[in-house]
Amino acid sequence: MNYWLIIVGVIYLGTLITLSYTSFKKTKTAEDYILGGSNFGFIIGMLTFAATLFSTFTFMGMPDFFRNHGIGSWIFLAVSDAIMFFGIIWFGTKLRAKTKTLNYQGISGMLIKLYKNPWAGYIYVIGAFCFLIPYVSIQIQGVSIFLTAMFPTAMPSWGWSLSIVVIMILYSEFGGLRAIVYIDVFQGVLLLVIIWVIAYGCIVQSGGVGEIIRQVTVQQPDLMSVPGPKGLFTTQFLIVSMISIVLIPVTQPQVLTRLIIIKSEKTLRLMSVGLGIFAFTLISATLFIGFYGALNYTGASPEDFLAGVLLHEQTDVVAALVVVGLLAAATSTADSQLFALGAEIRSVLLYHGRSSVNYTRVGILVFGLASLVFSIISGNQLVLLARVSLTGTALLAPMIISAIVRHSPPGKVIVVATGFALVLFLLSLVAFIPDIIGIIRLDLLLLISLGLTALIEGKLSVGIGKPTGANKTEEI
Amino acid sequence: MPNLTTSKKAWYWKICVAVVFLLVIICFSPLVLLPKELEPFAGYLPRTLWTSLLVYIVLFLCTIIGAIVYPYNQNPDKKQK
Repeated sequence: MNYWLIIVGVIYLGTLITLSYTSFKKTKTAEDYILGGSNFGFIIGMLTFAATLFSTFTFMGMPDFFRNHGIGSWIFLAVSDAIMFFGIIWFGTKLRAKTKTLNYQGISGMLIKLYKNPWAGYIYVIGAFCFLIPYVSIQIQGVSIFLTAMFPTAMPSWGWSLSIVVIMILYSEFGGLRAIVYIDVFQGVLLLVIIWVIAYGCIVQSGGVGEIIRQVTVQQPDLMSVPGPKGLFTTQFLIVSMISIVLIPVTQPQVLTRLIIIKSEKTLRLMSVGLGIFAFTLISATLFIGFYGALNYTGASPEDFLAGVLLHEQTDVVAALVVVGLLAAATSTADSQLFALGAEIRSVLLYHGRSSVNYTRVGILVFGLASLVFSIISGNQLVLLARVSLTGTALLAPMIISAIVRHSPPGKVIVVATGFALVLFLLSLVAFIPDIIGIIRLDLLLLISLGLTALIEGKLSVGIGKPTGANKTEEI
Repeated sequence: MPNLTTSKKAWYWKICVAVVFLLVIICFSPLVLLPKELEPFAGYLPRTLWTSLLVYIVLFLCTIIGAIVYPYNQNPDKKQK
C-alpha cells in the first residue's frame, strides 16, 4: 500500500498547493481574504457546505455508531440534517437580507451592531471558542489515532496531529477563504466517492442491500429498534441532538458564512435541495458500512473495526485513497472552523477600529495550536464529543436568531441569559452541577429556556413601544 | 411552479412549514420511536427504519417545494461584500 499511498498523497498535496496558490493570486482585498469574493455558485456552494458539515465524525464516527447503536443513528443525523436543510431556506434568506445592510465581516461583529452591545459579540466568541476548539480537535485526533494504529512505526499520534494542523494553517493563512472553499469542493467529492466505494464492497460481500438488513434484523434485532443495544437513543437524546444539529447553520461561523458567500438566493435554495441528496447518499453509505461491521466485527474495538473495513479488506489503491480521504474529511471541517474563529477575532476587533487581516491570521495560528494541544490531551469518543460541542454552540442560537429576525435591537436580557446558560452547561460538563434536572436533561432545559426568553423579550419589547422600524439597524 | 402570486406562495410555504412540524412530531413520537419494536415490517425493513426513511423523503420533498414557493425573495440579489 505504501507505494500507492505515496502516489495518492503526492497528488493530494499537489492539489492543495495548486488550489491555495490559485486562490492567493485571486485574493486582492481584506474582504476577498475573509469572504472569498462572495460569488460562489450552486455546485461549489453545496460541496463546500457539505464538506464543512460532514467530517471525520461522519466518516469514522457514523459507521461505528450504526454498528453499536443501530438504526437510531439515522434519525440522529440524517433526519436532523433534512430538517436543517429545510430551515436553511428560511434562515438563509433572512440572514442574507440582514447582512446586505451591515457590511458583514463575521457573526460577532454583526451581533455587536445589531444588539448595539459589545457583550453580544464577546459572548459569541467565548462560546464559539469553548465549543468549536474541542470540535476541531476531535477531527484531528480521530484521524491521528487511526493513522497511528495503521502505521505504528511512522510517527506518534501527536506527530500526525501536528502534520494535519500545519497543513491546514499553511493553506488557510496563504489562500484565505477562497482556498478553503475550493479545497472543500475537492475534498467533498473525494469523501463521497471513497465512502461509497467502501459501502459498495460491504453490500456486495453481504449479498445485497436486502440481505444485509435482513441479517442484522435476525442476528441483532436490538440494532433495528430504539434505543439501541446500549440504550443511547432515548427520545430526549434524539430531540436535543436534532435541535443542536438543526441550529448548526445558525451558530457555527464556518457554516453560517457559507450561506452568505454564495451568489444569490436562488443559489441558496438550490443548495438546500442539493444538500438533501448529498446527505442521503453519504449517510446511507455509513449505514451499510456500520451494519456490515455489526455482522462481521461484533465486539471489536472501533479501531479494529475501522482498520479492518476501511483498510485491510480493501485493495492497496483503495486503502491509500481511504487514508487520504480521512485526511480530507478531517481537514475540510477543521480548516473552515479555524479560519472562521480567526475571522471572528477580527470581527470583534473591527468594533475597536482594527481591521487588518493579520488579526485573522494570528487567530488561525493561535486556535490551530489550541486545537492541537486539546487533540493530544482529550478522550476518543468522537461522536459524543461532537454532540456536546454542537449542543454548546446551539445555546447561542436564540441570541443570533433574535438579532437576525427582529427589526430593532434585541434587549440585554438575551445576552445575559445566553452567557448564564453557557456557564451552567460548562459546569454540567465538568460534573459540578447535575446534567439532569428532575426528568429533563439540562441541555434541553437550557435550550427551551433561552428560546422562551427570546420569544418573551421580543413580544414585551414590542408591547412597551420599542422602535420596530425596519431601518433601525441600518443607522448603526 | 410558474406565475404564483406572492400570497399563494406564502400560503404554500406555510403548508410546507406545517408539514415539517408535523413530521418532527411524528418522528419523535411512538409512531417511529417505539422502544424495541420491529413490526410492522415494510418488505424486509423494520418499523423504525422504514418510517424514518419515509420521514426523510417527505422532508426532502418539502425542501424542494419550499425552495420553489418561499415567498420572501422579492429583493434582487446583490453580490455580498
